[in-house]
Amino acid sequence: MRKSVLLVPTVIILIITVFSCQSAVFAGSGAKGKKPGIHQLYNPIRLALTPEGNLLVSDYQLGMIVTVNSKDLKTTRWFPVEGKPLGVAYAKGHIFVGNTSKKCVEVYSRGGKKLFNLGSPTEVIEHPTDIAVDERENYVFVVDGVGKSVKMFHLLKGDFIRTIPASNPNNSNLSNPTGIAVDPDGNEVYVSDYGDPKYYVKPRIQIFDYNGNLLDTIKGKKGMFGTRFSTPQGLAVDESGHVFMVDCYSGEIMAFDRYSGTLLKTLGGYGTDPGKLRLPLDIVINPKSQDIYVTNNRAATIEIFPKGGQL
Amino acid sequence: MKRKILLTGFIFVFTVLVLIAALVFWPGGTEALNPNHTGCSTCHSFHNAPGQKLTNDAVVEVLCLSCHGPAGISTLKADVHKNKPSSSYAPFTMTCTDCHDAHDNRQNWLAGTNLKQVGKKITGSLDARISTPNSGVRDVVFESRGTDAGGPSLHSFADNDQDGNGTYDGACEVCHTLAANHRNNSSGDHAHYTGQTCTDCHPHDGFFNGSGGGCTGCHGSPQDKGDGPPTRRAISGEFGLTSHHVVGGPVTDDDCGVCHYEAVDGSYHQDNKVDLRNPDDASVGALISFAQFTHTPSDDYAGSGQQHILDVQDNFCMKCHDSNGATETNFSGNALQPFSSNSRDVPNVFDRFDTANSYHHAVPGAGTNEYCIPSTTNGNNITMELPWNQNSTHDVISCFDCHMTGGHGSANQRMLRTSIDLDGLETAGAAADIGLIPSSVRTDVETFCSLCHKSSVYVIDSDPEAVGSIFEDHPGSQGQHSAASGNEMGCIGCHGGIVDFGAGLASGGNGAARGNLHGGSFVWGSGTFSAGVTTEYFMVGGWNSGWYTFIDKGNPMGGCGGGDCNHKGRSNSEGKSYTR
Repeated sequence: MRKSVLLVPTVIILIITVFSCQSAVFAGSGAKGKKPGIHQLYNPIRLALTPEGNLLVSDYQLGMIVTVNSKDLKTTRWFPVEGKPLGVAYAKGHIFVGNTSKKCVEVYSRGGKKLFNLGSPTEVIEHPTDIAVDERENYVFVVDGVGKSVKMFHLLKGDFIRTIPASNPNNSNLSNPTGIAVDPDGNEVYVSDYGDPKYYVKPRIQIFDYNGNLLDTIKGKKGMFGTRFSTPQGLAVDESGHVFMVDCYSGEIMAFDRYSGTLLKTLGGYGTDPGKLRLPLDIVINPKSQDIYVTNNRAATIEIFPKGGQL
Repeated sequence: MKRKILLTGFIFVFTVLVLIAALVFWPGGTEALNPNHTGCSTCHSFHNAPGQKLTNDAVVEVLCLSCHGPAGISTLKADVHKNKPSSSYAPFTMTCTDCHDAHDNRQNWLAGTNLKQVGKKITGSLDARISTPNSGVRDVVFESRGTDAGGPSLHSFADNDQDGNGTYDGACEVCHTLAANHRNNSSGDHAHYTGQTCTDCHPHDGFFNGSGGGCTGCHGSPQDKGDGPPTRRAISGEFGLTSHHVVGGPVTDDDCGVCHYEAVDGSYHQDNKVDLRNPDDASVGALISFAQFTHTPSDDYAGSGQQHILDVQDNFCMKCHDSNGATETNFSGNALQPFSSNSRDVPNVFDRFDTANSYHHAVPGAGTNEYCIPSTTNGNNITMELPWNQNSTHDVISCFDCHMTGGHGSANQRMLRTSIDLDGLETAGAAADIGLIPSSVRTDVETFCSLCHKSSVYVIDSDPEAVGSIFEDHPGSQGQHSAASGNEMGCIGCHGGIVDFGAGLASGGNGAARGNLHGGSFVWGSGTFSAGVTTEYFMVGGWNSGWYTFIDKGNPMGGCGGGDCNHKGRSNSEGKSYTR
């Protein structure tokens, strides 16, 4: 009897250990340039994909938006931001940059010429941590980490439209938002949310319509004690509507079914070996190649997971 | 029954494990948890814990930065402490748990309580300590100094032994033995911005690198550890000198970015090089880097030295000092006035440049300047100082032969290498009736010209024909050419072109009329004497040209008419000419 009592928790602990040590599926390839000619990333945060297949990377420490060739992951050009950049997005020849120092979104030309601002002074965005765009409907969505909301603007005019969620009593619909993605086909906004332990709100991905109504939740919690993810950051939605997310603490890339919330696939995981990640903060999927790109913050690299978007 | 026993056993073992874990991970368990972390579950998960279950400091670092990193949800932004890749010191990293107790603030050895969870339990004592890289385990004090130290928000980042206990135990200084300032002993500079919070300029979310103050925030004062290359030059004050690139207001961080690549890309900062950028091209491909840049008349410009100077001149100076100014700028100014405070357009010097420039001054490459390349036939070497005309590898004239290399500012007007009161002349030239050009200015001009041209040849009081320039030795009644002897002319008398004093020369755009000593051609104005006057050798703009009509009231030159003042060329049978 005594043996059985000790054996049960031991087995449970072993099972937990085994399942938490998943091996890499695809090897990553870091982009860590050396000057001159190739820029060395220092503190990469968010990612955006241009129509040409180049990656735009916001580097918080350098205060720059760096362009990375998605094929060889070499930096090709960059332009400075007056302040600390976080969110970055690309649409219709414009580069949208969340400038946390200036509490607004700055809009730049492709060549890095500052054109106009979103948000300030009429609508302050305290911490513009991530940006997503809907080029069809001409909308820009900006996560305000401090404002615990998403600010919606007109892509071309820059006008403020509304705050998402439409209703957020006690921050229950959005507690500590970080990353964002949109599904233009479904007119849906996906927001990763750390939750709030103070109010027992668990980490989650919240799905809203463009009017700010909460449609659905993909939960980070699994069962009574289980956790699928705890620190959700960057999001991407593929053309089939599947939701990809990076969990910065576990280092995992997770793919979910939009409707059932079922975990479909896991990539990466914490570590320094090829294919492993340390504090991944954003993800983009190349719709043509299905390659996944991730900012690997601690390693100061961009990692590629070839065909990682295939399910 | 059996299941109940199993369940009871499981719960008992689980509880014991949790208690053991709490003791292991929370050894100083008497203190309360940081209330902002809202309990154990903020970081710990009993089952299916993400990541690697806090097994090492690297994982803890990721855990901390998942909230305190740039994209995290905390407003207290932080990062590890490490040096820049370009640092002259070996790479190091101090991670979160090197300085912070992950659970709560600790009592320090002065019986106070530290803030921000600085200090850990190390080597038995419950007092807050840090295991330093070079100084062993040290007590650390990081508490509010209140109004006694200048403000309630001032913490003991750098104690500077303010508490008089003979110990440098502030949170920053407790480790530092190599930093220039606020070391953990009495050496080094302990007066560095005392009373100010270290992280104002060395932000926690910027690896504690000195960047928070911006360019001008840090470069307002010098810093030098004295144990190697100078670490920081005070440049803000240089823009307050007599001549400087930013006029009409203080230099700003934006202004720095017009010329310096470090302001465009911070990773080039502190790489022991001066990194200039082509103001027409902000890309790294237009970068010009050099470790040192000096220029004295005795320098040997052989080989790469001269090429280096030309690189700076052609790819930096001339890219801005041309007709379209600095075309690639995201900064405060515009192309022709790229700095934040300017009232004049960039002088267009480039258009004056030509390899066939007969004025013999600045040319964009080796040209027809016979004073640069020695020749057995030209015989001009006796008229020039070294290295001109005497060193076959020094075949061009650059900006820096006349101008100071310090682009920020100079005590000399126009950043010339010697002092001439050209501003005074220009102001005087605008007046309708002015007096004679001050003899001091004429002397200054001669001194300036003599940097390259041998004064022993050109500036003489006696008959010069035996040695150098064809100066007519005026009798005393007419004044001599040498300022030293009371000459009213000096170099500037015949060789004008230093400035357009009256601002009356036809302008070629963005100040082209100014600084005509650079070269180029002019439109002769009224009152000039063209006969016998050549535009070579800058025989314009001086008294001869008519532009200098104010110089000597009442026809001081007597019968000497303008450009015909070459007595020897006009009336003297010897037929001398301006060839030297």
